[in-house]
Parts: sequence; structure tokens; C-alpha cells
Amino acid sequence: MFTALFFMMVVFLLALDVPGLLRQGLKKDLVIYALFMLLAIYLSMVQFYHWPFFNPFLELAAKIQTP
Amino acid sequence: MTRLTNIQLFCILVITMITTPYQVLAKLLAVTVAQHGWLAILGSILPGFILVWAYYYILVNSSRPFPGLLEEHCGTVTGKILGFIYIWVFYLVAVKSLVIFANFFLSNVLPGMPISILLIFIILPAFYALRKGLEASVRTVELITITGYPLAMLLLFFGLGPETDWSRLLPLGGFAVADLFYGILLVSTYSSFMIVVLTLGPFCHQPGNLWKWMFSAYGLFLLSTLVIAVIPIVTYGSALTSVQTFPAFNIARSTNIAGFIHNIEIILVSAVMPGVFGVLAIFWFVTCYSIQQVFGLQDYRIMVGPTAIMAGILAVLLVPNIHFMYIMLERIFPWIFITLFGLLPLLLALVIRLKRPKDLQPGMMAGNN
Repeated sequence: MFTALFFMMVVFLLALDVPGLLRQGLKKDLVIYALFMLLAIYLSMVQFYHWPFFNPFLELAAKIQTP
Repeated sequence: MTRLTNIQLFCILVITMITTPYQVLAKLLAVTVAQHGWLAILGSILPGFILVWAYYYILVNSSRPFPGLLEEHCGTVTGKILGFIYIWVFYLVAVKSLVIFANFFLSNVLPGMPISILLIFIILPAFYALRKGLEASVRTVELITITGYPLAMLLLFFGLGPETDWSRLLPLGGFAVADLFYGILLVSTYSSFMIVVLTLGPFCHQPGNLWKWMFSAYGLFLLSTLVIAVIPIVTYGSALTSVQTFPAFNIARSTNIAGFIHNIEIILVSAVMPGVFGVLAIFWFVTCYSIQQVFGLQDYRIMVGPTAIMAGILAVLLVPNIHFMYIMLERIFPWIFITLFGLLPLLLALVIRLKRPKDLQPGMMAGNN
């Protein structure tokens, strides 16, 4: 359910931004936008499906906690 | 190009510097230096003034907003690499403000509420404001500062009840000097959030006159942090303050003036929430603007969508609970922020000073005066 809602939100954002970029022929902007959107989707999948994720801050905090 | 008034920039600086300390600084200082938090704040005056001067010096000697000015002074390759790093550090501040907000709500106000719903409620207005452009965000921040800041401070003063004991700030001796220096570093971390002026300053009508507003904002920051750090100590003592999750909230909760003014914690929540919106919106804007500058994009607003999703997810992923949040706030984030928002700008100011021709007056390079 939550994943479906998330993908609806992604589609909404794509519909909001991509047509304008295509119309203006801003290819570089489109590539950067796509890269950030893919990163956002990947991070969401990490959260939804508990994929492995290296969190340097948490590793450091755990080390500080147990000297 | 959107133009900001100097008073709007002042409001932005006040909100970005004071909101986070309002929530967490009293506890952080109580843990680090016990009752000597006020000494750490006094000790941070000089480093802070040097930092403000460095920001102003960089601002008047640059023709592009930050991080574009890094390319101007450090060369294209170094400037792009540094700019790329700054994108993520600005983003980290935005995500950190979300984390503190979520933990504050979940531990004090609405325990058991799904964190995703909570995050959506704060991200959505900021998303809308940023999509509408800088002017919408700045006008909102201006309103928040004028209405929310005095209210938040007033609520702290209400905490000075009959149990107030000023001797809890003493004794002066008996502290480790290293701890005091760490306390100064903690306070300086939040004054270094003034770095947003390097991005937003060029949007002002008169960047040459900004120094007055920058120093005023820094003065207000010092006074506010002093109040934020001292009142919980004189009310609860350093031991009790150091174990509370959010001392300011506890002060509001326990306030009872003649049985008439009480149960006012919800007013504190309603003052803190817009403040968090302000920090989030400003650092989020600076992140998107930095992406635009580093990658040479047409408009920063297209980056608001993907970064909105990432902010929500990272706020959950990076910090699992309030315990780790405080470890990160106390031991990890200050080093990152002080290095990139404090030391690097100081070095940059030095580089500009050394590279500047001797017969050129400050400000002439930018054509600001």
C-alpha cells in the first residue's frame, strides 16, 4: 500500500517536472534530475524492503557509544 | 532575479541559527560542560565574530553566490568538487532538522504517530514554498521570525518560577578545559549556520550594508543561546537537564503562573514547528541552489521533487532513534559543520585576502559598493 502510494508520488513529480524539461530541450538538467530521482527511488527501496545500506554516521555513533 | 530586503535576510539568519539550539543546545551543553554552558557561550563570542567577519569579507569580494564563488576563487575543478561536497552537507543540515523535529514530536507530543506522516506534514509545506520560489519561502520565514521567535523566548522566561535557583550556575571552577573548548565548538557549530548568507546575500538590495544585519543576527543568537542554556540549568540543575530529551519542552510543560497560565506546551510546539519549517526550507533551498550552481542547471526548482523524497527517507534511514540522534549531535555533526562551515570559509577568506591586489579596496571585486 505504502509502496504504491510512493510510486504514485514519484509519477506525480515526474509529470510535474519532466514535460517542461523536454519542451525546453534541457538535456543536462534532465540527466541530473533523473540521477537524483533514481537515487531517491533507491533509498526508498532500501527503507521499504530493508536492503543493505551503509550508514557511516550510525557506524561512527555505535563506535563512540562502545569505546 | 528575486530580491531580498536586508531585514528578510536578518530573519533568515535568526531562524537558521536559533531554531536547532532552542531544541537541543541546553541538553548538549549540560552533558558536555554541566552548569558551565553559559561560559562556553561567552567563550564562543570571539570565534563567532571572526566567522561573521569572514563571511562578510567573502561576500563583498565575490561576484557569484555560494558555492559558485568557490570556482571563482579556487579554480573550476577544486570549486566544483568543494561545491559537490557542500551540496550534501547543506542537505545534511536540512535532514538533521527533520530528524530533530520528528524525534521531538515522537517523544513528547504525539508518541506512536507514524514517522512518515509526521515527515510528510513538514516536508509538504516546504516543498510547496520552494516550488513557488525563494520569495514565498522568505516571506514565510519573515513572518515566522516576527511571530514565533518572541513567543518561543517568552515561554522560556515563564519557566523562571519559584524553584529557580541561580546558584545552580556555580561553582565556576571544577571543569575540564577540554570540555569547555568542546562546548565552545558546539555553540560555534550553530553560529556557523550563518553560512547561508553567502548564498542568499547576493540576492539582497545592498550587500555592502549586510554586515550590520549579520552582526545583529549574531548578537541575537548569542543572547538567545544564553537564555536557552541558562534557564533549564537554573530551573532543573545540570544533572537533570542532561538527562532530559528536550529541556525547553519540559519547562513549558511545568510552567504554572498563579494557576492561570499553564498547559502551554502546545504553544511551544506551535512556535517550534514553523521554526523547523524555516530551517528546512532555507537549507533545502541552499541545497537545490547549490546543485544548480555546481551542475550549471537552468532552474533550481526542478531539484525540489527528488530531494523531497530523499529528505524524508534519509531522515528515517540515517538516525534510528533519539539516543543515536544525540550521539550524532554531540560527537559527529559538530566536526563536519565546523570544518565545512567554519574552517573552510576562514581559509577561503585568507585566500581571497592573499590573492587580492594590494591597491584594491574590499568590495571592489564584486562591484557591490
